[in-house]
Amino acid sequence: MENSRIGTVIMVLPLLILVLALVIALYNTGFDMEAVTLPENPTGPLNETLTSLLQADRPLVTASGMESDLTAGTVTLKAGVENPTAYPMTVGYLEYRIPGEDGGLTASLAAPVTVPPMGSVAVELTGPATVDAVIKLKSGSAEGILSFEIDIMGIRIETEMARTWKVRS
Amino acid sequence: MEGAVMTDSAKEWTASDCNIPGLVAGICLIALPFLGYWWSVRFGDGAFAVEVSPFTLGMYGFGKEFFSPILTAVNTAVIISIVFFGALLVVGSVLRCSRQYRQQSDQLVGIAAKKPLWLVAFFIISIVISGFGIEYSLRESGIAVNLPVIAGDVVGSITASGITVQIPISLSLNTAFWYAVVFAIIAVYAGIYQKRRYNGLHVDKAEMDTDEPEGPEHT
Repeated sequence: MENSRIGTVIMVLPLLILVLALVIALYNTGFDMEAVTLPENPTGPLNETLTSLLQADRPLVTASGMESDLTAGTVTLKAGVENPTAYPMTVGYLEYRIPGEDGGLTASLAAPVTVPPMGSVAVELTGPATVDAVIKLKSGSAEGILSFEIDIMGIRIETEMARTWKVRS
Repeated sequence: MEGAVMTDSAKEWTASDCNIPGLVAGICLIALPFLGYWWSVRFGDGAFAVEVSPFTLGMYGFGKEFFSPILTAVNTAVIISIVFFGALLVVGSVLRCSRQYRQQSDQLVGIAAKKPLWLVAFFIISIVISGFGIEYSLRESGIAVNLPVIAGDVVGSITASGITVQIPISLSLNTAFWYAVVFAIIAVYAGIYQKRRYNGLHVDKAEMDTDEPEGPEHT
Protein backbone atom coordinates (compact mmCIF):
# COMPACT_ATOMS: atom_id res chain seq x y z
CA MET A 1 0.00 0.00 0.00
CA GLU A 2 2.79 2.35 0.99
CA ASN A 3 4.75 1.45 -2.13
CA SER A 4 1.79 2.15 -4.40
CA ARG A 5 1.44 5.56 -2.72
CA ILE A 6 5.10 6.30 -3.42
CA GLY A 7 4.51 5.25 -7.03
CA THR A 8 1.54 7.58 -7.35
CA VAL A 9 3.51 10.50 -5.88
CA ILE A 10 6.39 9.83 -8.28
CA MET A 11 4.03 9.70 -11.25
CA VAL A 12 2.18 12.89 -10.26
CA LEU A 13 5.29 14.92 -9.39
CA PRO A 14 6.34 15.74 -13.02
CA LEU A 15 2.79 16.88 -13.74
CA LEU A 16 2.89 19.16 -10.71
CA ILE A 17 6.25 20.56 -11.84
CA LEU A 18 4.77 21.24 -15.30
CA VAL A 19 1.71 23.00 -13.89
CA LEU A 20 3.90 25.04 -11.53
CA ALA A 21 6.21 26.06 -14.41
CA LEU A 22 3.24 27.15 -16.52
CA VAL A 23 1.77 29.16 -13.65
CA ILE A 24 5.13 30.87 -13.03
CA ALA A 25 5.45 31.72 -16.75
CA LEU A 26 1.92 33.13 -16.84
CA TYR A 27 2.47 35.08 -13.61
CA ASN A 28 5.72 36.60 -14.95
CA THR A 29 3.92 37.90 -18.03
CA GLY A 30 0.92 39.18 -16.08
CA PHE A 31 -1.31 36.39 -17.45
CA ASP A 32 -1.00 37.90 -20.94
CA MET A 33 -1.49 34.96 -23.32
CA GLU A 34 0.15 36.70 -26.28
CA ALA A 35 3.22 37.68 -24.28
CA VAL A 36 3.58 34.21 -22.78
CA THR A 37 3.39 32.31 -26.09
CA LEU A 38 5.41 34.32 -28.60
CA PRO A 39 5.84 38.05 -27.94
CA GLU A 40 7.32 38.62 -31.41
CA ASN A 41 6.49 37.03 -34.73
CA PRO A 42 9.59 34.97 -35.59
CA THR A 43 8.87 35.07 -39.33
CA GLY A 44 8.54 38.88 -39.21
CA PRO A 45 12.09 39.73 -40.40
CA LEU A 46 11.84 37.15 -43.20
CA ASN A 47 8.53 38.57 -44.42
CA GLU A 48 9.80 42.17 -44.14
CA THR A 49 12.90 41.35 -46.17
CA LEU A 50 10.97 39.55 -48.91
CA THR A 51 8.40 42.34 -49.04
CA SER A 52 11.06 45.04 -49.33
CA LEU A 53 12.61 43.15 -52.23
CA LEU A 54 9.42 42.25 -54.05
CA GLN A 55 7.72 45.61 -53.56
CA ALA A 56 10.71 47.95 -53.85
CA ASP A 57 9.77 51.44 -55.13
CA ARG A 58 12.85 51.66 -57.33
CA PRO A 59 14.49 48.96 -59.42
CA LEU A 60 17.31 47.17 -57.65
CA VAL A 61 19.63 47.74 -60.64
CA THR A 62 19.81 51.21 -62.19
CA ALA A 63 21.90 52.12 -65.23
CA SER A 64 24.48 54.83 -64.64
CA GLY A 65 26.62 54.84 -67.77
CA MET A 66 28.26 52.94 -70.59
CA GLU A 67 31.55 52.78 -72.44
CA SER A 68 32.30 50.92 -75.62
CA ASP A 69 35.40 49.91 -77.56
CA LEU A 70 34.19 49.23 -81.07
CA THR A 71 37.60 48.13 -82.34
CA ALA A 72 37.87 45.51 -79.62
CA GLY A 73 34.13 44.74 -79.87
CA THR A 74 33.49 45.11 -76.15
CA VAL A 75 31.16 47.14 -74.00
CA THR A 76 31.25 48.17 -70.33
CA LEU A 77 27.93 48.99 -68.69
CA LYS A 78 27.97 50.89 -65.41
CA ALA A 79 25.17 50.40 -62.94
CA GLY A 80 24.21 50.85 -59.32
CA VAL A 81 22.81 48.00 -57.28
CA GLU A 82 20.61 48.96 -54.34
CA ASN A 83 19.90 46.92 -51.28
CA PRO A 84 16.50 47.86 -49.81
CA THR A 85 16.79 45.33 -46.99
CA ALA A 86 18.36 45.58 -43.55
CA TYR A 87 20.77 42.73 -44.27
CA PRO A 88 23.87 42.35 -46.47
CA MET A 89 23.01 41.25 -49.99
CA THR A 90 25.31 39.42 -52.39
CA VAL A 91 24.87 39.83 -56.11
CA GLY A 92 26.17 36.59 -57.52
CA TYR A 93 25.08 37.01 -61.09
CA LEU A 94 24.13 40.09 -63.08
CA GLU A 95 23.81 40.15 -66.82
CA TYR A 96 22.38 42.47 -69.46
CA ARG A 97 21.98 41.17 -72.98
CA ILE A 98 20.53 42.38 -76.24
CA PRO A 99 19.81 39.41 -78.46
CA GLY A 100 20.84 39.74 -82.09
CA GLU A 101 21.38 37.53 -85.11
CA ASP A 102 25.02 38.59 -85.27
CA GLY A 103 25.65 38.02 -81.57
CA GLY A 104 24.12 41.13 -80.07
CA LEU A 105 25.45 42.20 -76.69
CA THR A 106 26.13 40.28 -73.54
CA ALA A 107 27.61 42.11 -70.56
CA SER A 108 27.97 40.44 -67.21
CA LEU A 109 29.42 40.96 -63.75
CA ALA A 110 32.98 39.67 -63.45
CA ALA A 111 32.77 38.67 -59.77
CA PRO A 112 30.10 38.62 -57.02
CA VAL A 113 29.69 41.84 -55.05
CA THR A 114 28.21 42.43 -51.62
CA VAL A 115 25.88 45.38 -51.07
CA PRO A 116 25.65 46.69 -47.49
CA PRO A 117 22.25 46.95 -45.77
CA MET A 118 20.16 49.87 -47.11
CA GLY A 119 23.13 50.87 -49.27
CA SER A 120 24.19 50.72 -52.89
CA VAL A 121 27.26 49.63 -54.81
CA ALA A 122 28.50 50.63 -58.26
CA VAL A 123 29.13 47.70 -60.57
CA GLU A 124 30.46 47.22 -64.07
CA LEU A 125 29.20 44.70 -66.57
CA THR A 126 31.56 43.84 -69.37
CA GLY A 127 31.32 41.64 -72.41
CA PRO A 128 31.35 41.35 -76.20
CA ALA A 129 29.10 43.55 -78.30
CA THR A 130 28.52 44.06 -81.99
CA VAL A 131 28.57 47.55 -83.53
CA ASP A 132 24.83 47.35 -84.25
CA ALA A 133 24.05 46.42 -80.65
CA VAL A 134 26.17 49.30 -79.31
CA ILE A 135 24.43 51.77 -81.62
CA LYS A 136 21.03 50.50 -80.48
CA LEU A 137 22.13 50.69 -76.88
CA LYS A 138 23.36 54.29 -77.21
CA SER A 139 20.13 55.32 -78.91
CA GLY A 140 18.19 53.95 -75.97
CA SER A 141 15.82 52.17 -78.31
CA ALA A 142 17.00 48.64 -77.75
CA GLU A 143 15.19 46.59 -75.17
CA GLY A 144 17.47 44.08 -73.59
CA ILE A 145 17.05 41.48 -70.89
CA LEU A 146 18.37 42.15 -67.43
CA SER A 147 18.79 39.07 -65.30
CA PHE A 148 20.29 38.82 -61.86
CA GLU A 149 20.61 36.54 -58.91
CA ILE A 150 20.99 37.89 -55.39
CA ASP A 151 21.50 36.13 -52.11
CA ILE A 152 20.42 37.28 -48.67
CA MET A 153 21.39 34.89 -45.88
CA GLY A 154 21.03 31.89 -48.15
CA ILE A 155 17.73 33.02 -49.68
CA ARG A 156 18.23 33.25 -53.44
CA ILE A 157 16.27 35.73 -55.50
CA GLU A 158 16.33 35.37 -59.28
CA THR A 159 14.72 37.59 -61.86
CA GLU A 160 14.76 38.24 -65.55
CA MET A 161 13.08 41.31 -66.97
CA ALA A 162 12.94 43.29 -70.19
CA ARG A 163 14.70 46.65 -69.74
CA THR A 164 16.13 49.46 -71.82
CA TRP A 165 19.57 50.64 -70.69
CA LYS A 166 18.69 54.27 -70.07
CA VAL A 167 21.11 56.36 -68.11
CA ARG A 168 19.34 58.71 -65.73
CA SER A 169 20.72 62.21 -65.80
CA MET B 1 25.05 -28.92 -4.47
CA GLU B 2 23.95 -26.90 -7.48
CA GLY B 3 20.97 -25.54 -5.49
CA ALA B 4 23.24 -24.58 -2.63
CA VAL B 5 25.47 -22.60 -4.94
CA MET B 6 22.44 -20.81 -6.38
CA THR B 7 21.22 -20.01 -2.85
CA ASP B 8 24.57 -18.57 -1.88
CA SER B 9 24.89 -16.49 -5.00
CA ALA B 10 21.46 -14.96 -4.26
CA LYS B 11 22.27 -14.29 -0.61
CA GLU B 12 25.57 -12.55 -1.07
CA TRP B 13 24.71 -9.13 -2.39
CA THR B 14 27.57 -7.28 -3.96
CA ALA B 15 27.97 -4.26 -6.19
CA SER B 16 27.62 -6.60 -9.16
CA ASP B 17 24.01 -7.23 -8.10
CA CYS B 18 23.23 -3.60 -8.92
CA ASN B 19 21.40 -2.96 -12.15
CA ILE B 20 24.44 -1.81 -14.13
CA PRO B 21 22.48 -0.96 -17.32
CA GLY B 22 20.06 0.97 -15.11
CA LEU B 23 22.91 2.85 -13.49
CA VAL B 24 24.35 3.75 -16.90
CA ALA B 25 20.91 4.73 -18.25
CA GLY B 26 20.22 6.87 -15.16
CA ILE B 27 23.47 8.81 -15.50
CA CYS B 28 22.85 9.22 -19.24
CA LEU B 29 19.31 10.48 -18.57
CA ILE B 30 20.61 13.08 -16.14
CA ALA B 31 23.08 14.25 -18.82
CA LEU B 32 20.56 14.11 -21.70
CA PRO B 33 19.00 17.61 -21.30
CA PHE B 34 22.44 19.19 -21.64
CA LEU B 35 23.53 17.50 -24.88
CA GLY B 36 21.95 20.04 -27.21
CA TYR B 37 19.20 20.26 -29.78
CA TRP B 38 17.62 17.14 -31.25
CA TRP B 39 16.05 18.54 -34.42
CA SER B 40 16.81 21.56 -36.59
CA VAL B 41 14.91 23.34 -39.32
CA ARG B 42 16.96 25.90 -41.23
CA PHE B 43 15.79 28.35 -43.86
CA GLY B 44 18.59 29.68 -46.05
CA ASP B 45 21.96 30.30 -44.46
CA GLY B 46 20.90 31.71 -41.09
CA ALA B 47 17.83 33.51 -42.44
CA PHE B 48 15.60 31.58 -40.08
CA ALA B 49 16.23 28.58 -37.90
CA VAL B 50 14.29 26.55 -35.38
CA GLU B 51 16.25 24.21 -33.15
CA VAL B 52 14.27 21.92 -30.92
CA SER B 53 14.65 19.33 -28.22
CA PRO B 54 12.22 18.43 -25.44
CA PHE B 55 14.45 20.52 -23.17
CA THR B 56 15.18 23.62 -25.25
CA LEU B 57 13.73 25.61 -28.10
CA GLY B 58 15.82 28.04 -30.12
CA MET B 59 14.29 30.31 -32.74
CA TYR B 60 16.51 32.62 -34.75
CA GLY B 61 15.53 34.89 -37.60
CA PHE B 62 17.96 37.21 -39.41
CA GLY B 63 20.35 37.31 -36.48
CA LYS B 64 17.62 37.87 -33.91
CA GLU B 65 16.64 35.37 -31.25
CA PHE B 66 13.00 34.77 -30.38
CA PHE B 67 11.87 33.66 -26.99
CA SER B 68 8.67 32.00 -25.81
CA PRO B 69 8.17 32.12 -22.02
CA ILE B 70 5.58 29.33 -22.03
CA LEU B 71 7.72 26.95 -24.08
CA THR B 72 10.73 27.75 -21.89
CA ALA B 73 8.60 26.88 -18.84
CA VAL B 74 7.52 23.58 -20.41
CA ASN B 75 11.13 22.82 -21.36
CA THR B 76 12.30 23.54 -17.80
CA ALA B 77 9.60 21.24 -16.39
CA VAL B 78 10.69 18.48 -18.80
CA ILE B 79 14.36 18.96 -17.80
CA ILE B 80 13.46 18.66 -14.10
CA SER B 81 11.27 15.60 -14.77
CA ILE B 82 13.87 13.77 -16.85
CA VAL B 83 16.66 14.51 -14.37
CA PHE B 84 14.28 13.28 -11.64
CA PHE B 85 13.56 10.03 -13.52
CA GLY B 86 17.28 9.63 -14.20
CA ALA B 87 17.93 9.97 -10.48
CA LEU B 88 15.18 7.41 -9.75
CA LEU B 89 16.81 5.01 -12.18
CA VAL B 90 20.20 5.49 -10.50
CA VAL B 91 18.76 5.04 -6.99
CA GLY B 92 16.63 2.05 -8.05
CA SER B 93 19.59 0.41 -9.76
CA VAL B 94 21.81 0.88 -6.71
CA LEU B 95 19.09 -0.31 -4.27
CA ARG B 96 18.99 -3.57 -6.17
CA CYS B 97 22.19 -4.51 -4.30
CA SER B 98 20.19 -4.61 -1.08
CA ARG B 99 17.69 -7.40 -0.48
CA GLN B 100 15.88 -5.17 2.01
CA TYR B 101 15.05 -2.56 -0.63
CA ARG B 102 14.61 -4.85 -3.58
CA GLN B 103 10.88 -4.18 -3.89
CA GLN B 104 11.48 -0.41 -3.92
CA SER B 105 14.28 -0.94 -6.41
CA ASP B 106 11.92 -2.78 -8.77
CA GLN B 107 9.34 -0.07 -8.37
CA LEU B 108 11.75 2.81 -9.07
CA VAL B 109 13.36 1.12 -12.07
CA GLY B 110 9.92 0.08 -13.34
CA ILE B 111 8.67 3.69 -13.22
CA ALA B 112 11.75 5.28 -14.78
CA ALA B 113 12.91 2.70 -17.33
CA LYS B 114 10.38 3.39 -20.07
CA LYS B 115 10.25 7.18 -19.68
CA PRO B 116 13.10 7.94 -22.15
CA LEU B 117 11.42 5.73 -24.75
CA TRP B 118 8.15 7.61 -24.30
CA LEU B 119 10.05 10.89 -24.51
CA VAL B 120 11.67 9.91 -27.82
CA ALA B 121 8.36 8.58 -29.22
CA PHE B 122 6.49 11.72 -28.15
CA PHE B 123 9.22 13.90 -29.66
CA ILE B 124 9.07 12.08 -33.02
CA ILE B 125 5.28 12.49 -33.15
CA SER B 126 5.68 16.19 -32.23
CA ILE B 127 8.21 16.93 -34.96
CA VAL B 128 6.17 15.10 -37.60
CA ILE B 129 3.16 17.26 -36.65
CA SER B 130 5.41 20.37 -36.55
CA GLY B 131 6.72 19.53 -40.04
CA PHE B 132 3.19 19.44 -41.41
CA GLY B 133 2.46 22.69 -39.56
CA ILE B 134 5.50 24.42 -41.09
CA GLU B 135 4.56 23.17 -44.57
CA TYR B 136 0.99 24.42 -44.12
CA SER B 137 2.25 27.85 -42.95
CA LEU B 138 4.63 28.14 -45.90
CA ARG B 139 1.90 27.23 -48.37
CA GLU B 140 -0.39 29.77 -46.77
CA SER B 141 2.37 32.37 -47.39
CA GLY B 142 2.48 31.34 -51.07
CA ILE B 143 5.72 29.37 -50.82
CA ALA B 144 5.29 26.14 -52.77
CA VAL B 145 7.15 23.40 -50.96
CA ASN B 146 6.93 19.71 -50.14
CA LEU B 147 8.79 19.32 -46.87
CA PRO B 148 10.45 15.99 -46.13
CA VAL B 149 9.25 14.16 -43.04
CA ILE B 150 11.68 14.74 -40.13
CA ALA B 151 14.92 15.06 -42.16
CA GLY B 152 16.01 16.14 -45.62
CA ASP B 153 16.68 19.14 -47.84
CA VAL B 154 14.27 20.93 -50.12
CA VAL B 155 13.99 24.28 -51.88
CA GLY B 156 10.81 26.26 -51.47
CA SER B 157 9.98 28.89 -54.05
CA ILE B 158 7.66 31.84 -54.45
CA THR B 159 7.19 33.85 -57.64
CA ALA B 160 5.79 37.36 -57.67
CA SER B 161 6.13 40.17 -60.23
CA GLY B 162 8.59 38.13 -62.29
CA ILE B 163 10.87 37.62 -59.30
CA THR B 164 11.52 34.10 -58.09
CA VAL B 165 12.54 33.69 -54.48
CA GLN B 166 14.12 30.38 -53.63
CA ILE B 167 14.45 29.38 -50.00
CA PRO B 168 16.57 26.31 -49.23
CA ILE B 169 15.03 24.47 -46.29
CA SER B 170 16.97 21.88 -44.35
CA LEU B 171 15.50 19.57 -41.72
CA SER B 172 17.92 17.44 -39.74
CA LEU B 173 18.10 15.20 -36.71
CA ASN B 174 21.14 16.06 -34.62
CA THR B 175 23.57 13.87 -32.70
CA ALA B 176 21.78 14.54 -29.39
CA PHE B 177 18.66 12.82 -30.77
CA TRP B 178 20.62 9.65 -31.55
CA TYR B 179 22.14 9.80 -28.06
CA ALA B 180 18.57 9.95 -26.71
CA VAL B 181 17.59 6.89 -28.78
CA VAL B 182 20.60 4.94 -27.46
CA PHE B 183 19.86 6.04 -23.87
CA ALA B 184 16.21 5.00 -24.29
CA ILE B 185 17.28 1.54 -25.48
CA ILE B 186 19.67 1.18 -22.53
CA ALA B 187 16.91 2.28 -20.13
CA VAL B 188 14.43 -0.23 -21.59
CA TYR B 189 17.10 -2.92 -21.33
CA ALA B 190 17.65 -1.89 -17.71
CA GLY B 191 13.96 -2.62 -17.04
CA ILE B 192 14.27 -6.07 -18.65
CA TYR B 193 17.51 -6.71 -16.77
CA GLN B 194 15.84 -5.83 -13.49
CA LYS B 195 13.04 -8.36 -14.07
CA ARG B 196 15.36 -11.04 -15.40
CA ARG B 197 17.45 -11.09 -12.25
CA TYR B 198 14.28 -11.12 -10.15
CA ASN B 199 13.87 -14.83 -11.00
CA GLY B 200 16.94 -15.55 -8.91
CA LEU B 201 15.10 -14.19 -5.89
CA HIS B 202 12.31 -16.74 -6.30
CA VAL B 203 14.89 -19.51 -6.10
CA ASP B 204 16.41 -17.75 -3.15
CA LYS B 205 13.03 -17.47 -1.39
CA ALA B 206 12.25 -21.13 -2.02
CA GLU B 207 15.55 -22.07 -0.51
CA MET B 208 15.07 -19.67 2.39
CA ASP B 209 11.69 -21.21 3.26
CA THR B 210 13.36 -24.48 4.13
CA ASP B 211 15.33 -22.64 6.88
CA GLU B 212 18.30 -24.72 6.01
CA PRO B 213 21.29 -23.60 8.12
CA GLU B 214 24.21 -22.43 6.14
CA GLY B 215 27.19 -24.67 6.43
CA PRO B 216 30.76 -23.50 6.08
CA GLU B 217 31.06 -25.63 2.94
CA HIS B 218 28.54 -23.34 1.25
CA THR B 219 30.69 -20.26 1.54
